[in-house]
Amino acid sequence: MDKTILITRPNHDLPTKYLYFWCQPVIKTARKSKLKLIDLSKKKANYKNFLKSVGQSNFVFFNGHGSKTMITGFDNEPLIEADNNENLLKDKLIYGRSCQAGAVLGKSLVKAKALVFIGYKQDFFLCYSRSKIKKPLKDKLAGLFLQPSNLIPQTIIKGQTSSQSYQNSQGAMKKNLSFMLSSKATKTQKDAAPYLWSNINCQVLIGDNKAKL
Amino acid sequence: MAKRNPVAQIKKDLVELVIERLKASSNELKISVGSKDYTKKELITSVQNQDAVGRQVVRAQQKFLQDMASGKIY
Repeated sequence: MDKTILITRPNHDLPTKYLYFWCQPVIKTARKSKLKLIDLSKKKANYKNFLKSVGQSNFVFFNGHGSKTMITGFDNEPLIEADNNENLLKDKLIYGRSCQAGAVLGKSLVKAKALVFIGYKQDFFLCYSRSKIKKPLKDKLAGLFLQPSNLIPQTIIKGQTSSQSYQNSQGAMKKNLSFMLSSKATKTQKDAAPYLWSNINCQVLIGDNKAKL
Repeated sequence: MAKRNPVAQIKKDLVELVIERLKASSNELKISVGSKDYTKKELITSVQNQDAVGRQVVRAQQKFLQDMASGKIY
């Protein structure tokens, strides 16, 4: 039976708008694969649609705001919350591109038999260029943060393990950090380096590092 | 004469350092952290006020500077 990837990508404010657009390369990878894709974008990234779609999904890629105990969708409606509905993600691979969920929710999900959770145990910093906010995909500074982050779902979609996806993302972030500290980087890119370093250090994998689709 | 608290002084110096680094940073830079996005000016205010985001920024900058100095980054 074909495996299914579920992506939630609201766009109700500037940070989620950036995540919404920067999911496009992941969607392109998914469409080239044999996977079935459920794309809960914009207002569709709500709890009602999430509930309808999550049961049939094997890999869930959340984009949105979060806290230690939850990840949200459009207009910050909670989608998944510790001590509430973790059982929805049993037997699934999960990547939460949101703040802090790795601190509590991720562990809670794996305890409730999710295969693996990759996310961030502190706030996920996202840096962008003021002059590019109307064209997020043209924003090279945001790309330094989001392209490595995209490698997690892209690597999993290609059939590799959660551990490989984590290593790929870490490697790409460190490569970008080296660039940002070099003479080839713009001043803005150099100024953003501490925040990428923070993301590198707070990215976590919890659960089965051999898990794959 | 009041005794100086060295820990408090280090913290104060660190906050001042981060503020100066932020003042010297590019005006083009915008940062999203937590559920909001911030201009340079707004970040400086957060650090000065030592609110939750301000403390986050100080921690991120402090770790970066320490890890650069120790060679952990290269």
